[in-house]
Amino acid sequence: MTVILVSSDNQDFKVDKEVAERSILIKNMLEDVGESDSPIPLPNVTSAVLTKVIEYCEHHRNDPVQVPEETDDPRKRSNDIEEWDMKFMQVDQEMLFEIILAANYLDIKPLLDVGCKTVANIIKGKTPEEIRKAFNIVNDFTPEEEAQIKKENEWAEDR
Amino acid sequence: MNPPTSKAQLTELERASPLDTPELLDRILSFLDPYTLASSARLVCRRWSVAGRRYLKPVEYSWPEFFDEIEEFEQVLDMVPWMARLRWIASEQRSPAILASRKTEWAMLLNALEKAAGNPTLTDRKYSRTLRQEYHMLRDLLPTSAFDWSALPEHPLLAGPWARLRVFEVYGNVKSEWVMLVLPLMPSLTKLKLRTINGFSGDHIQIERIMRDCKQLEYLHISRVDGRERLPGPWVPVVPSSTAEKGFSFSSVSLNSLVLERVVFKQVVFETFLEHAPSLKELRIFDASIEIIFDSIGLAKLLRRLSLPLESFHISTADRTRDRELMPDLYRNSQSRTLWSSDFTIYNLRMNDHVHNNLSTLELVPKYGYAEYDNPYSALHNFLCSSPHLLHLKAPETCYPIAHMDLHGRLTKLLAQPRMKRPCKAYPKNVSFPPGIWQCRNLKTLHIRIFSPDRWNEVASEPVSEFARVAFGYIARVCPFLRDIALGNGPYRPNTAQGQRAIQPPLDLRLQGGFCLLSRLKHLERIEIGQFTERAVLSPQNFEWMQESGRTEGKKVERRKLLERTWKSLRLMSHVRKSVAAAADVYDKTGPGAHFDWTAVDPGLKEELRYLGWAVDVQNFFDELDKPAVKNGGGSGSGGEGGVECFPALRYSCICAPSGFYLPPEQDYKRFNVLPQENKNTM
Repeated sequence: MTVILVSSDNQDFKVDKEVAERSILIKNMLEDVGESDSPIPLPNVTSAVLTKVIEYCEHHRNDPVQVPEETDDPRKRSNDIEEWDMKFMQVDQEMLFEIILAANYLDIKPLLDVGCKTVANIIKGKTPEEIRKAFNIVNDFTPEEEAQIKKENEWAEDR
Repeated sequence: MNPPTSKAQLTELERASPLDTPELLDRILSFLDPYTLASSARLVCRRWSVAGRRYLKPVEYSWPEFFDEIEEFEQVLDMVPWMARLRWIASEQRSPAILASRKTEWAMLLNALEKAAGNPTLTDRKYSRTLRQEYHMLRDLLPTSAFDWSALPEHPLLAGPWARLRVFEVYGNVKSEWVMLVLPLMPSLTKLKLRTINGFSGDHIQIERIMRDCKQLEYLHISRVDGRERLPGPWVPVVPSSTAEKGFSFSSVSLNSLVLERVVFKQVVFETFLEHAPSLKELRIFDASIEIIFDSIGLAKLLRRLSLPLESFHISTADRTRDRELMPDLYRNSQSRTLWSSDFTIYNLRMNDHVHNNLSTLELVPKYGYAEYDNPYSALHNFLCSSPHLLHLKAPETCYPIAHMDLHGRLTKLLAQPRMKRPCKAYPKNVSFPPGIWQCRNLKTLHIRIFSPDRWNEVASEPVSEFARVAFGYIARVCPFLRDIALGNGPYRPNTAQGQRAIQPPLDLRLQGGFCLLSRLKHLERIEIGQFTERAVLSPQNFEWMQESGRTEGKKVERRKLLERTWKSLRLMSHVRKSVAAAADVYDKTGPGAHFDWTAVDPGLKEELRYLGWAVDVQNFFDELDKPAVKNGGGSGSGGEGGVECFPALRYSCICAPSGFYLPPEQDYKRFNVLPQENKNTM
């Protein structure tokens, strides 16, 4: 069985129901609507992003649904991003952000986590100034505030 | 302006970022390790700072032997996956039971680290045969169900693959093999501090292994309190080489700081290390013993050739400080000086070591443990009284005579009381310790021991209030900008020069000891007072005044009671000093909570009390506590909680704990309040 998803720029995407249901949002919608052929509009997702999201869901279609906070070794869960996911996430920053927003909107937790981990990876090893530059953030600290936070974080500096 | 036409332009304008959505920013930051959070993410902007705060703690764990139950220890180990700093502190106790539990602790740490690292196989770590044996012995101690990781509490950082240990500190006696076993599981370590008392049991510590296991190590500190620790070479990783004739070569290390105390090594090992540590900024080696022969000319040549980016340098060996001959340029230009000596006399300070009063940092390291600084002609006092530029005095093992602080001769007067006279005085009457005011008013760091060379308070197990009051009062007034203070008391050694047993009384941390005078130090960030063994004479009530105080009527009544108790105990001392009784009477007349009527007080007594500041300061202090709250923006109604915060900037506190065992203040108070009764008796 297939469902039709409509992106914000009115493109239709025909996907297996099983794949579409990786998104909790769509799954709930389908459950609410019941058996129906009517297309599902996704006004917050562009066709470019939707293509990527569907690609992800296709690849992970056989994953166990929503692994509830794995209970085995903590490192396994925290261990680095899977290789396929890592390659999948090799996109420009704009696309990365859009994927995260779409994953959040569509409620695809594993994709959201992979996206957030990727951003965290970008942050890692950068100075505050480099982070601001990378994400176009304005430094709104007063010198006093900055000093205060540095003080709070003193433990991180090797004494 | 044209409206955006194409889709691309539109998205450009409307583009939302997940970083603008609080819950998404939250999620992203939750994947960061504590170190990145603290050192960069929280400094990006206000929003990041607030969002990142919640993921910062807990990050730092100490692992002292205060734990009475192994369960407490397990709780600490549960935090290993997101721990940033771990300290292990052990006392000198060597009873078989303690040694056995210590071994179990290390076995559990090993286990916790292995789990956190994703259970790497043993072969990954390339243990030697002895280490393997030790490993299996440790592992055998663990019950099979030692850790049920599935039962771990949820924590966001657990989901981050980057949770990492950066700092590992070991104080006390431990088997070197245990350290070597856990280090391969701490590859992200940047700081390693090993301080042993009688040396490591087992094999020698292998610096080469440490460097290989912890490639990111920046700071290495190895010291030994008694005797000397042998550090066999090499100190840099050995790599097989195809070109070199010997078949191996050395690889470089990224170490910034190397501090060694009381160690034995070969000069060739040390020189090889220097050649492979290009980023070394701090090199400090105290009281080293160089095997075979020390070639200072050769070493000086090497140092000149390498031109390391050294900022801090000290080498002392064979009873001599070698700084000037080894690094003459650095020595001349440096604003800080480290002295290693058995005698800090005028000669030593001024002539021999070129200590001038333009120094900003002075560090005194006594040769043989605590320096018995009881020579009235010693120069530390003179130096302090003539060095306005000094910012940091680090002399945690140097004893400073209290008489130098006794501006009004109060202690001398007290000694004149017939009851306080003791049969044998340590000093002839003609030796005096002239009091004076330190010129270093901007002092930020003060690490010192204070002691009384007079013997009137010897063998006293009870704190002597006057002694502490003079010290606290002096320091709080003379150096109001202190940030870091560590005060100890005098030498704790059975045989003094006089051949008599001299045990200094603990610093009095009760209210009458004037400890609260230190609350004048509004910039104080770190405080260390007293020694571990002094815990016995303290009770939680001693610190009530430090607790954040509420402004409710109940709290006020409690405080008044506390103050009354103190005055009562002062009255009990009236047979020692009539003037104290007089002051207490004045207080009685005016009643608790009221101000002093200074007109009614004898001018002499007034002067003395004013100098000591105690009575007035305590009164002011309590008045301040009763004032409307400054913290929490309160201050409107009298029923609201709030109150004045003592030590508003204090971040680390260490009251009567093993030296260097700093905790956040609230945890430090807690430590006192949970102290089991039986411990008090045994200490």
